[in-house]
Amino acid sequence: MSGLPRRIIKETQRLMAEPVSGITAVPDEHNSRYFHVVVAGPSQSPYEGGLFKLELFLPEEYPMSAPKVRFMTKIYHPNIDKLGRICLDILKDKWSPALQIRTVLLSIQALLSAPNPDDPLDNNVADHWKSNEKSAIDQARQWTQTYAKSNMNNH
Amino acid sequence: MAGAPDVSLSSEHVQRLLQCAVCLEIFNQPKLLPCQHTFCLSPCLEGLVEVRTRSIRCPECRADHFVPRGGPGNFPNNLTIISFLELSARASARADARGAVLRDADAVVPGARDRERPQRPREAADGYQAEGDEPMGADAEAGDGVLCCFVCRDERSISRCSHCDQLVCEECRRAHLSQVKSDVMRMISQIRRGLPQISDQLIVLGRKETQFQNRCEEVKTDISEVFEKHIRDLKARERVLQEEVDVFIGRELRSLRVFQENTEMENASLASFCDSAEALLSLSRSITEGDLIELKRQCMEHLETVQCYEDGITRPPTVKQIQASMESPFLTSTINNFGDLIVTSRPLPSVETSAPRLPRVEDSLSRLDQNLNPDFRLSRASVPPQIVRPSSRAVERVHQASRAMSISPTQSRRDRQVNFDLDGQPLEESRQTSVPQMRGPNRWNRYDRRSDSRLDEGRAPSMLRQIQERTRHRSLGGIPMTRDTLDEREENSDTDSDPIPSYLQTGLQRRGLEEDLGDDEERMDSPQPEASMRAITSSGARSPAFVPASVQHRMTGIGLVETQRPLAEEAGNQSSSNSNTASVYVSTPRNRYNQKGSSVCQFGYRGTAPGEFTSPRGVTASPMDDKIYIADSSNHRVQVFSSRGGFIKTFGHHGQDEGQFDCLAGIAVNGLGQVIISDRYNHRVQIFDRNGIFQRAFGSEGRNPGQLNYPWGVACDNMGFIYVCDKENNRIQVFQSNGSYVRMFGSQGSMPGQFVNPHYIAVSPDNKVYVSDSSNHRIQVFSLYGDFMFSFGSCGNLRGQMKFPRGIAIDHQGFVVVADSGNHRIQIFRSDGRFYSMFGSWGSERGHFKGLEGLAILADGKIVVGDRENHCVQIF
Repeated sequence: MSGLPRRIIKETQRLMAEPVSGITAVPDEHNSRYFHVVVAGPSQSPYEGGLFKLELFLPEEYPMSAPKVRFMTKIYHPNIDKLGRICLDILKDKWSPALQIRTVLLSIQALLSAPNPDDPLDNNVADHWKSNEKSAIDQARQWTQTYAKSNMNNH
Repeated sequence: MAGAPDVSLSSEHVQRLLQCAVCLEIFNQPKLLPCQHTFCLSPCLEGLVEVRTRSIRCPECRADHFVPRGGPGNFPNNLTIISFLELSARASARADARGAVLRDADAVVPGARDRERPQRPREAADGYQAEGDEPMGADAEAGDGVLCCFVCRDERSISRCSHCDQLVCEECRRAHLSQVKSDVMRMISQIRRGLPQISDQLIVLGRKETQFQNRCEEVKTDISEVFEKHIRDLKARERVLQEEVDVFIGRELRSLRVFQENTEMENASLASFCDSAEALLSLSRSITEGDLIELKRQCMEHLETVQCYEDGITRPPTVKQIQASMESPFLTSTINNFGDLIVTSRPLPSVETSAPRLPRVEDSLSRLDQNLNPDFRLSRASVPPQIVRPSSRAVERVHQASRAMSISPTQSRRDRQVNFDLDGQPLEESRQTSVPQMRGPNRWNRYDRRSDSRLDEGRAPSMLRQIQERTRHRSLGGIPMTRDTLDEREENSDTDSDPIPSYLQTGLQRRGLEEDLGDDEERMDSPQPEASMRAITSSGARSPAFVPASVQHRMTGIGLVETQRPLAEEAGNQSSSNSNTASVYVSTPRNRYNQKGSSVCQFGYRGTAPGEFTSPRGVTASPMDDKIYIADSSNHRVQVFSSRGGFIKTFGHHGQDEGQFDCLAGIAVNGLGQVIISDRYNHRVQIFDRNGIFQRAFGSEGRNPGQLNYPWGVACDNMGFIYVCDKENNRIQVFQSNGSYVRMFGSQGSMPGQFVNPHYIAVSPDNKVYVSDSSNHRIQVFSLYGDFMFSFGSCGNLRGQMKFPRGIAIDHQGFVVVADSGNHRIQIFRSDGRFYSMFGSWGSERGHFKGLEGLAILADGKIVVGDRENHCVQIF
């Protein structure tokens, strides 16, 4: 894509050169603003062992506006709805141009480690989490086994 | 922030501190927000201004700040960052030059740093890299930010090393300097090791200077010797002419005196007759009738005599006029052009001297003035000029000869004798003046001739006289001997009972003369008489009419002495054929090899089109039409060019069938114009007619007689036999022109007569077979029957040495031209293998070679050279 800002190019290069552990982000071969992301479930979380596929799109205003990120893999999480949308402040009002793809993805990984049912996106899940955290975690682990464990082509 | 103790001071971190967090570029106009975060003014901060509220939110800490009046540009500058940027301005400029990738510290590639500083000794850098815990690429980045040693990253007592332009601490500097010191020591010892070579060069230079001076002295001596000799010759000639004049005077005076005496006697007797008759009559005594009648008869008789005087019937012998004809334009021009110094930049072949070159008279008269005395003569436009130094030995011989011929008392006696003999005959002088002569024999002449023939019996062989006589005829005025002089001479010969019928015998006569003079010593030490000498004598035999100058005449005499055995052969040949075939016993080439070196013509370059070559190998010149045939090896074809390099035609292409080639190598053209080609990878020899039509092929791969294994050079002798270098079998095979096997000789080895990879072959005019025994670095010479005769050359690059000799060609005088492929030069040898001259060196320009292969010599003496690696052909 012509006219790609230097910042995006540099970020992409750096992502390739120094990948963050547990995260891979590969630009689409036809659209350099569209990234195929795979985030590994953090250890000591119900998502451990799962590989979660995400899509990340850098809007025209980036870095002045936040990238658009969505889970492609089904995940049982109070801040992620069934469409994969993520409830994360830095992707919304707390976005800052100083943040990068790397930091966004790290934040998402951190979100998996620390679900925040107080700021829910999916109320059913959030309720489940609040009412019976253990059951919710089991559910999440179950989903991970079901959806994030097998090969990625299912999604 | 630069001094933050917990931050690693790697260049990467420093670099990152100089980057704007928004654009990820080096700060452009860094502005400090009240929250102490710094961003570029444009476009980062400007893009963040919330116009409606005139506020800005820090991208780092999300603190909201009021944008000052006039916009974010009025935020204060971050002076620390700016000074850091200025500090690394140089590095940044360098990074800018290298491009955006390297400006990003993360993208610095270790190797790029080394490339950027080629002046740093590689070994020193390597030594330090082993000590440092980071690759070399990181070190210089310290210069952009924090000053630290590039070896140990210490920040104390940092200074810049003047040697490698690196920041280095005191301790490491010491180690570094000791390393540099040892490097310097090593270089010094290298220099020391090289010193003897330079002093050797000096010695060689001094030797060369001495040699040069000696040579100049020799040249001077030679010049004065030659000139003294010619002066002596001229003086001798002067004496001879003056003696002749004296003789002429004496002879004429004598005849006049005789006539005078006769006349006086006649006068006296007539007077006394008159007196006595008158007295008789005046006595008036009766005279008997008979007496009177008798008296009258006597009176009538005497009256008749007187009448004879009156009528001019009886008159004094005509006084012949004499006149010296010194008009000799040839001699004048010869003297004027005589002797030139030829200076060459090429190292002189020190052992090589060329004998004085004497005129060749077989050239037409019109060219005589150019050819007269080519010794010491050079074409006035000759570039590059060269020194032709006549060998002092030859000069010495000339002296001996000239003394023997012209100064010895016997000689002058013979001269006189000849004069007597010629008495009454048309002497050259009188002929010149066109004075009518008394052809009828008178008694004086008759007397002289008788006395002459009497004298002759006890004298030197009459052929001497004869030669003397003829040379006189030639030398005086350059008038050809006319028919009647010849007749008369033969008449004389008859009286001398010494018939010498024709000039065709002169060789024999001269040989006799030579034996008379007995020059045994010369015969012993010079197995090869000088070419020029031969030339003059044979030319004398061929065209006796034109030997214009007296100097030349003397040289002819010299030639008699100098020329030995071949002369007899030559004379024998001459009588049967007047061909121009030259003897191979020559030492001075007709081809001016020592003036070669710059190519007169170069054609072809790499390619497959007509006129282009891919690895040309064999080269030959057709003896019939002087066309050049090139074995265009990797194009698998033969290309034919004119002797001036113009493309004519091509034939053949890749394949195994008749008329097809696979990497042909050697090529030769026989006397019939047939083209003989060694088809290397097909292990056969093919013969084509002169139009390039296939005629026959012979040979197959193998080791048996008649089989070939990568045949290379081919050659033909003058009987049509084909000689093939059977390279991988290390032998020479001989075939008839129809391809039937005749014989072979040679085997693998380095002994005489053995070969290792014989490449090219040539047959000399005197039927010797020269083989370039390439991997033995020598040329071997065989008889036609394969008997080893001698070899020359050894491995090396000195004169006469060679490395992997390839192409070989022999000119009509027997000079051997060798393509010294390992030394990238052409060497010329005499037929006996003595070095004569050389030229060429490595390169791709004209006159340079990269892969010498075949050689050929054109009819005019030009050398055609095939250059495999330059893919071209050059003519010298």
